[in-house]
Parts: sequence; C-alpha cells; structure tokens
Amino acid sequence: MNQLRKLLSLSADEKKSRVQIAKQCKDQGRKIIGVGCSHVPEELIHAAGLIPWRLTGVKRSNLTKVAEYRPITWTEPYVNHVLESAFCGDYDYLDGMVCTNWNDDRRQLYDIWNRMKFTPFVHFMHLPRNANKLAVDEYMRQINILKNEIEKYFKVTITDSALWESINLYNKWRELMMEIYGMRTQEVPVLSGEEAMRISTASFFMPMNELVKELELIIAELKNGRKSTSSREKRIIVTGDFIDDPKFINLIEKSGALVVMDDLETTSRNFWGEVEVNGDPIYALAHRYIVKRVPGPRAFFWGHNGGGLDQLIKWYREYKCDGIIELALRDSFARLFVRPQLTKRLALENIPGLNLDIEYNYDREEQLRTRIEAFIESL
Amino acid sequence: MFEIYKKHIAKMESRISKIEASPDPTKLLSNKLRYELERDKMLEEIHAFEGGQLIGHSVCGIGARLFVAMGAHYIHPSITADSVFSPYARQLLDIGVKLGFPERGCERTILPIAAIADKQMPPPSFTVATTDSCDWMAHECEAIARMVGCPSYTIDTSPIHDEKGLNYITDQMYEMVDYLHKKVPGLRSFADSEEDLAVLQERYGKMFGHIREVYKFMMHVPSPLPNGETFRIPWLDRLPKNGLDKSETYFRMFRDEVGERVVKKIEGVPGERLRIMLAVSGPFYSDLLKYLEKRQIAMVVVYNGLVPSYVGVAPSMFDKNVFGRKLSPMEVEARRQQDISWGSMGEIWAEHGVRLCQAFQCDAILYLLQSGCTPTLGTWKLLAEKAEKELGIPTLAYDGRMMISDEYDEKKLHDLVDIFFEMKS
Amino acid sequence: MIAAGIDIGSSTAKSVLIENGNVIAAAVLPIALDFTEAAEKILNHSMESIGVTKAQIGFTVVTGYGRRSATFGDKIVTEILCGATGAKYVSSRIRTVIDIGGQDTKIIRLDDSGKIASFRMNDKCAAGTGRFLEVMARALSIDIDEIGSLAVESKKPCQISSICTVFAESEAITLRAKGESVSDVLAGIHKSVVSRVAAQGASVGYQEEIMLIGGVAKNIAIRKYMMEEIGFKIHFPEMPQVVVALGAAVIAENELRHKRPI
Repeated sequence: MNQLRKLLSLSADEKKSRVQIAKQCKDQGRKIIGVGCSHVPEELIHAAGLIPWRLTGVKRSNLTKVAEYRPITWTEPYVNHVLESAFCGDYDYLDGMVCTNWNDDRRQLYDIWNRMKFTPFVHFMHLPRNANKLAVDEYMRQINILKNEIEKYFKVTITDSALWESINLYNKWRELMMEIYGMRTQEVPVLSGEEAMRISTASFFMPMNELVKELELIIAELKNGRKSTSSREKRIIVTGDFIDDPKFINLIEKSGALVVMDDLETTSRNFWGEVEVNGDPIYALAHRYIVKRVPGPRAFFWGHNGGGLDQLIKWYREYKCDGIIELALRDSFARLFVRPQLTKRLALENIPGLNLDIEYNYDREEQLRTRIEAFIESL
Repeated sequence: MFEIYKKHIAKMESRISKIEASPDPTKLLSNKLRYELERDKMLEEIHAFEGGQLIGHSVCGIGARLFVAMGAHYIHPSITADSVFSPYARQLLDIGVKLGFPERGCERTILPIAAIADKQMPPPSFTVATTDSCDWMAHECEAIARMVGCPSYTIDTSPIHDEKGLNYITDQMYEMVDYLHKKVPGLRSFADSEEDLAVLQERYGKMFGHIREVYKFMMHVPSPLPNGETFRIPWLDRLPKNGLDKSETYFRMFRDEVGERVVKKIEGVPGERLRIMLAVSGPFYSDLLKYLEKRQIAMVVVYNGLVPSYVGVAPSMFDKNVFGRKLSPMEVEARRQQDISWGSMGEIWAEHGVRLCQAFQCDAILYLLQSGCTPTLGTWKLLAEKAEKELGIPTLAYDGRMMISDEYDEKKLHDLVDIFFEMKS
Repeated sequence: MIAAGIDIGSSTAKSVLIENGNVIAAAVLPIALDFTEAAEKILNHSMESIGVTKAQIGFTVVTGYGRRSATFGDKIVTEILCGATGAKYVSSRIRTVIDIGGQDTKIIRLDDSGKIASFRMNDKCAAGTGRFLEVMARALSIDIDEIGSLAVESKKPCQISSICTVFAESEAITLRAKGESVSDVLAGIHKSVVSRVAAQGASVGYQEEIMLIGGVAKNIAIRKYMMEEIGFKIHFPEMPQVVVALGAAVIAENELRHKRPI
C-alpha cells in the first residue's frame, strides 16, 4: 500500500505539503491560482498552463486578523479561515485567485481579497442558482470572461485543443475518484471515510497530472484486496458543504461507525459528473458545472426536481447506510436554511439523521463525540 | 387568524383618529394618509385572502406592478415583517425555529415564514424568489412556496449590474410569466398585462420622483425632518393595489411638506450639530434615533440597499436611458432587480455609501453590524476604509439583531454616540 | 481652584486632582457594587490625601464604565476622550493610545492636532482584557501581581489556541497537568492577550509614538510581548491605570478656565 500511504501522508501534513509543492511549482516557473469554489472550472485554469489551487485556510483557532475586517461570528467560517490565512501571508505564493458568489460570504471573499490585493490577479464569476438553459448560457458567458481575463493577464492563449486536453485529464481524475468511491459500497470497504476524504482533497494541492498517476496506482493497490482496518457495524453517510478537515470524519469513525460515503463540496460533489466531450468546450464546462454536477443547497432546486437532496437519498441507499450525519458549518446560511427540507425528507424516507453544527477548524471534540456516539448507539 | 394584522390595523386607525381630532402642525400632516394607506393595504390583503383572490409573494418589488398587472395582489413578506411583525419578533422567531429554521439568522426572512405558518399573514397563490438582495431573501420565497405547496419561480440575478445582466434577468422574467400563467389559474398572460404594466410603471415613476425630491430636501442643512421620520421615508413596495390615487396624493403631500420645512428652515433635530448616515438599519427596539437627537445629531439618510437608486447616486428602474436606449416594460421591471446596492459587489456598496455621505454632508457613518445580514455584515470595512480615505469621516460600527432585543446593550450604543460627539466637538 | 477627574471602572475607581496644570493627587481603589459610592469614596480619598475639601474643587469630570451612574460631577465624558487627553498630557508626541482595561480594550489614534482620528473598542469579549488574565491567574492559583514576572521567565511559551476565556482556562489547566511549566503557560496566556489587542490596533493603524495605559499596562510580560508583537517602541507611564482619570481632570481644568464667573 505504498502509493496510498504516500498520498495519505502528504495529506496528513497538508500545510507542509502545500508549501513544498507550491515551492516546487514556483521553482519550475509555474504560476498558481487560488480557487475559492468547487464550481470554478479548474480545467480552464489548467489549460492556460496555470495550477489551480483550492483555498482551504490553515484552520487557526484564533482568527484575529480577519476579525478586524469582518465579524467572525454570524459569518461563514470557511471564508473567515481562508481570509485569515491570506492576511497571515500563507498564500503569498499565489499569483491569482478566482471565486464565485456561491453565497454572500463567498462574494465577500472576493471583495476583501480584491481590496487587499492579496494576489495581483483576482477574478469573480457569477454562479447561477438554477440549472436551466438560461443559467447554462449565463455561466458560459462567465467562463468566456474568465478565459479572456486569464489570457490577457497571463499572456497566454487557451486553445480549444488545450482545453479539451485539460478536460480529459480532469475527467480521468473524476472517473478514477468515482471508481474509488464505488469500492466503498462493499460490505467491508477498502477505505475508511477519513482516508477517502484525504484522497479527495489531494486534488486541492497536487498538480492534476501527477495526482491522476497516483490514483491509478492506488486503485491497483486497492483492487489487490486491501480491506479497511476498521470494522464498524454502522454505516454512515455525511452530508455538508465546505468541510475538508478529515478529523471530523475520523471522530465519527472513532465513535463506532464507518463513514462509507460523503456528500460534500470538497469530496463527491467536487468530482461527481464528468464533462461531456463533444461540441463547444465552453458549453461542455458550463453544462457540467451547472447541470450535471450534484448541486449543493445554495441551488434553488436542491430540495426537488432531482436535485442534491434526491442524490443524497440515492447515495444513502446505494451505500447501504444506516444513518446520515449532517455536518453544517456554523452560521452557514445555505445549509441552515434548507434544514427543514432535509429533516422532512429524512422523516418521509424513515432515515435516521443527526444534525451537527461545527466550526471549520476541528474543535469541541468532546461535545461532538458525545452527540455522535449517542446517535450511533440509537441506530 | 391575522390577529397581528388586526392589531396593526387598529394601531393605524388610532393614529388616524388622533390626527383628525387634533392635528399637530409641528408634525407631518401627510402621515394621516400614510397610516390610511398602511391600513388599507392590510385590509386589502385580508379581504383578498378571504375572497379567494390571487396573492403573489416576492421580495423584490416587481410584484407591486407586474403581479398587479397580471391580476394578483402583491405582498413583500420582508417589508411586511419590518412594518408589522417586529414587535412580535421573538414569538414568531420561536415558531420559525420550531419549523426548523435557524435561530441565528435574518429575522425579516424567517418571521414571514413563521407568520404564514401561524396564520398571521395571508399565504401566497404563488411566489417569485429572486437573488437580487441576498441569500436569505432569495430562499425565503422558495421556502414559503415549499411550505404552502404553491408554484414558485426563481429568478437568478448577477451582482454585476450591467446590460448583459439585465438581459439575463429579462429572459428569465419572460419564462417566469409564462410559467405562472400556466400554473396559476386566473393569472393573466403577460401579453394581456403589458399595457397595464406600462401604465403602472408610469404612475409609480411619478411617485418615485416625489420621493427622490424628498431625498434632495434631506440634503439641506439643517435636516428638515426628525430622525424618526427620516428613518421611515417610505418605499414603493407596500402600496394598496386599489389605492394608487391616494398613494399619489400622499407622496405629493409628503414631498410638499418636507419642501416647506426646508423653505422655513425648520430644524428636524433642534440645534443640529452633526449629521450621520445610518448604514443598514437601526435596531427597531432601540432608542437610538432619540438618543442621537438628544446629542443634536441628525440622522439624515439610512443606507439600505435601495436608497442609492432612490437618491440618484445610482440609476433606478425609473431612470430613462440607463443603457442608452428605451427599455421595454419587462426590462424596466427587470431593472428593479439591479437597484439594490447590497446585492451588488462590495466595492459598489462602498462607493454608493461614500457618495451618499457626500451628498448628505455626513460627519460619520453609524453602521449596524446586523446579526444575520450576510451582504452587509462582511462588507462594513470596505465602506469604512473608503469613507475615511475619501471623506475623512469615521465609521462607528455596533452590532445587534434587527428585531430581537435579547443581546442588545443600550449602554454600548450610547457610548459610541457619545464618543463620536466628543470627537467632533 | 482644583479640577477633579474620576474614572469609575468595572473593578477599580481612580481619581486625579489637578491645580494650575499640575497633578496634586492620584488614587486607585477597588470598587464594590455601588458606582456612586465608589465615586464619592475615591474623590474623598484623594482630597484627604492632600488635605483639601469639596469646596475647593471647582469642576469634576466623571468618566468610565459607571459614569452615568454617578450622581455628582459637573460633566460626563467618555473614556476614549479622557484616555486620549491623559496620554497627551503625559507626552504631547503620543499618537496611538492602547488601553487594556479590566473588561475592555481600546485603541485610539490621534491626529497631529491631538484630536481623535479613529478608535477601536473591544468590549464584547473577555479575551484580550484584564479579565482574561485574572481568570487564568485564578485557574493556575497564581497571584495576579506575579503572573507577569513569571511569564517573562519563559523560554518556550505554550500556544493557547482557544479565544474563549472559558475554554482557554480549561486549556491552560490541561497544559499544566501535562507538565508544562507555569512560566511557559503564563507566557502563552500573555501572548494570547497581546495578539488579540495587537490585531485590533492594526485595524486602527499604529502611528508613533505609542503609549500603553490601563491597569494591565503594569504587567511586564504584556509590555514585553506587546512591543515584540507590534514592532514599535511603546511608552509606559508611571501610573498607567490613572491616565484616563488624569485626562478627565485635564478636561475639568479646561472647563474651569472657560467657566464664566458668577
């Protein structure tokens, strides 16, 4: 299990890995673009010869610098942690940043980043909340604007063929990730939930062509009969949004369950659904990021019309789960406002659920553990 | 049913009687019409529900004209919450929490949902959700529709208010009216409503013009209005469907009265020494406005999302040739969704705020870091820095919930006002 | 005629008497619950110390947390203005005042004419105030007056990650239980306070020269870490906790000078 172990250890010390990998890339003369949302078409950035770099924040307990710029209570913790990292200089190696209005707080990530000029290139994309033709057309327009801005600023030309090449690479990554996640449906899964998240989030800081090679080797290792070292009775699917600290998943697994699936912006929703390889690549990207991918709760149709909630229930059944644990970032409007829909649907489907309000950084372990253990005991 | 509405109607009637019995010449006489309009609007809503008439809910003001032209009544749930539900905020929020909505959230979007569930507000026959303001208001109307089981259409707007953005909104609005016409029996088609819409826009445009004149009067020194009256300078989103004649009379009268006060140099805040812009809002339960008056500080403008377009520092839906051409009635309505500053980018919010301070000759900004107000909570510093840099004026930030007084610290707010007063004295 | 300044804080009351521009008395006393009683007591204490009577006090300015509760006094002024005025009296070159009090922290920036240009207050949260240090001292069973000198002995300060006083207390006790030295834990606690205060100051903007006032300014560890954190030299007045009362007295004397004769 050398490849798996190698990847997991890179992820375990993410801060150090990021700095090392960023340095290597910069030494090679490559430019790195921070990405603040899972809807930004990273393929486009990649096709420009730039490295997309998902912003995650260093997860400090004390958010002293950003607190002077915006209140850190009643606002989304993910954005606060990313901004704190920026204020502290953790992202000084970035050459640019792209984000969307996934929610009001994310729009302010752009506003404050742009005001402070944390990077010389900062770009905002309007992200529609519907998934109809008008929304796709609008997002195509946004992607074209991004393309033009990147070409202008970084003095590159993004050809269709380069774009298709990047799309194919990312599709390969998606295919491999879906294959790995497919293995988690097994009765004795090949991976723990924590391991799965670490593999998912490796795409945040590893150049994609390297990551794809690693994943191919890892899949070969997993197919050779690796079983998860955890033997848990209860199978859980977690649902949430911008959570990327595997310690939360690990806590659930230490409490007597196995997290067999995760419905998060940072994991499955990030890679589920490939770009269709035909026609206009810009349309193909817009279609994938607006229509094809699994929507998060910020989308108007999340709770119906085959949206995210339907997908969550589908995964619940497919992965033979016993319960759902919702990890909701404190004060994250999008998740909290749709909670009544989630609760109602789970009751209808007779699915046990636990709602946990958490910080973005791993905190309050004992309070969380008590709740999780009580829930698992009740299953 | 509608007990809160009825209490509010009774309150309006009491105020009307008081003015009729002994009008106070030092106060605005047009307030009598204002209270009548408020009363009429609420009675109209109750009768519409009881009569099985169509009612559309939307949190962007397009309903005032578009829904009415298509044959429905219009309710803006959040503005209704501001005007009517605020004294019952805690009890309604508790109901909202029981329904599963967050306690830690924007009251003016959760209260209407709770009010409908508690039969305190007429439920909609349909809703239109829009993203022009903020996340909360975007999902409020969708949540209402899911709760009552009525058709709902969602319009997605871009925070970049350019012509391409307008086209995007307009295309969705055409889809919306088709959808609603099919799904809501009795709702007219847009083709049959367009002419009426144009007439309504014309009438609303005139009333809007009167309010804009009022804002111009407010730029005078001293401010002609006391802080309480400034705070409630009216919008156009809550007028009775069958009361446009009275509405026009009211806005004309209101404008004339304020103008007269300017000519007579009447001090709205006796001994006015300093002027402030109140950003976002002020806690409804606080004595902030009176305390400011005590310190001889005139609150001359409230910077909420619509004010820049009302004042004219940003173009409004009623301004002609915004994109260098005449807009169709549907485009004019679509423009309404580009009128909201806090739905735009942070630099626009900051820019409009600074332009307002300049226009109204403000000495400081008093900024409510309103708990749960996602678009304005995180952008206060953008405005504060710009105001200090360009105008040399400070921003005094204080936090609080808009309608829930649990965490309110009156002393802290008074301290802030006192410090500002000392700084400038 | 003597001018009096009284600062009614959350835990102590302070007073300063000025005559002809010179400080003639200064006092600090702990407060019980009654602010009026505290104000009377501290003024009497100051007067008795130099043998003057109330009739000789021409003007009194009251400031501080309990200022509105005091039933006497000729004028009420905020601690912000008094703090700025007091700091300027000590040195006219001061442009930034950092006041770490028992329950709140204030950062005040002055312009070149000595007027308040901007300020920042943290009165929402105990972290970054004297209260945080008191809670920690109690938790570690150390006298509050000794925590500073113990902290500066540290060679390897611990990291206190909680910003909530309650959780930080728990964290500090856990660190001691794990064998960390009391100096290292205390150093971590002090650094935590300083980093909170320094960040607030950064939002106002540091401009030299800088003065640290308030009761917590007596703490040598706070002094040391604050200078390290913000990278500027800081002035420490002799009695930092009375600077606000001093400012109140200066304002009172100005009022006396402008008072019309009866």
